[in-house]
Amino acid sequence: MPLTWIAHHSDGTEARQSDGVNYADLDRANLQAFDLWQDERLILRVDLRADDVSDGIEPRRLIYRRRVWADSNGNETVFYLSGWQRKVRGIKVQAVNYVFEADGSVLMGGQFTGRDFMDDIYILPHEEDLR
Amino acid sequence: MAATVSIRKLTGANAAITSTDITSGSMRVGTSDEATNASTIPVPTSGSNYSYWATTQLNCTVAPTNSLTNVKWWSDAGSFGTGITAFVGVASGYASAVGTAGSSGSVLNTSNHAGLTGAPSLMTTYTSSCKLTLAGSLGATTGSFGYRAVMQLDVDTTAGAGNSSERTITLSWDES
Repeated sequence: MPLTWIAHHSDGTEARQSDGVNYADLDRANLQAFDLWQDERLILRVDLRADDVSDGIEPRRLIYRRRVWADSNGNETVFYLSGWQRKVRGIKVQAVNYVFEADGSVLMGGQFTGRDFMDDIYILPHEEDLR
Repeated sequence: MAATVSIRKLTGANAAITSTDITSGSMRVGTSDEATNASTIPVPTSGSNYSYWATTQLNCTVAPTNSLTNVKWWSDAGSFGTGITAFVGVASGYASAVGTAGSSGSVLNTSNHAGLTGAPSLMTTYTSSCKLTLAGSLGATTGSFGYRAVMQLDVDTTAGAGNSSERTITLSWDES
């Protein structure tokens, strides 16, 4: 069962993928939370509320992708990356969760390592805040 | 709705490429340029015989909302068997596999394949912890995307007759 997202903004409004909202159109600087839902079940909520940004710590910014692995035996594994990145004194720090579509299980990762499914992402035009 | 993506084997002349869906089945290489290859690679008495190179690429038939990016390729790092060495290269453009049918393909290199971005590497170089990046992306549309992975087997005199071992290739991509 595919997962869909709901974005919660700090002004109390919601943006739902199921309503046809485009991920590229989210107000990334004013996100409060980002949910992944599977059918009627909330699988994961990432807290993006403003926190301490003093002393070289920048705000957290959303990371989201649907990642697919397809092998030559016809097997396909789908998982969703949902987490955040911030810069701490100029250095990027990530906290990324990996949600497996097959059973909704969640693996909490950290930095992008390039190992297994923990590859970095290709930053999209509307994600300049991740550079 | 999520994008629909398949793995394709590309064959045929440059001006008339055949794109065959190999997502749910194995892919064979031999000494001919065929979508479903039934030809064999003769074990040489000296030097090497090569398979015709096999070109693969991703193809999207149901568009993503935004994009498909970050294409990666890797193998299970296993061996095809004694006397068989597998290579993979990255190609920004397609080039029809050539050689002497039934005998040997032309060596996969930048001289013989105009689209290669560099010299091929051992296939075993690329694993789930060290993936090969295939540049390129797709926007909110359908079609082929990502650079092509071009594979070739080098068969030397120590190889045994019969089917080689099978290996698993994996591709990944991100959707937004």
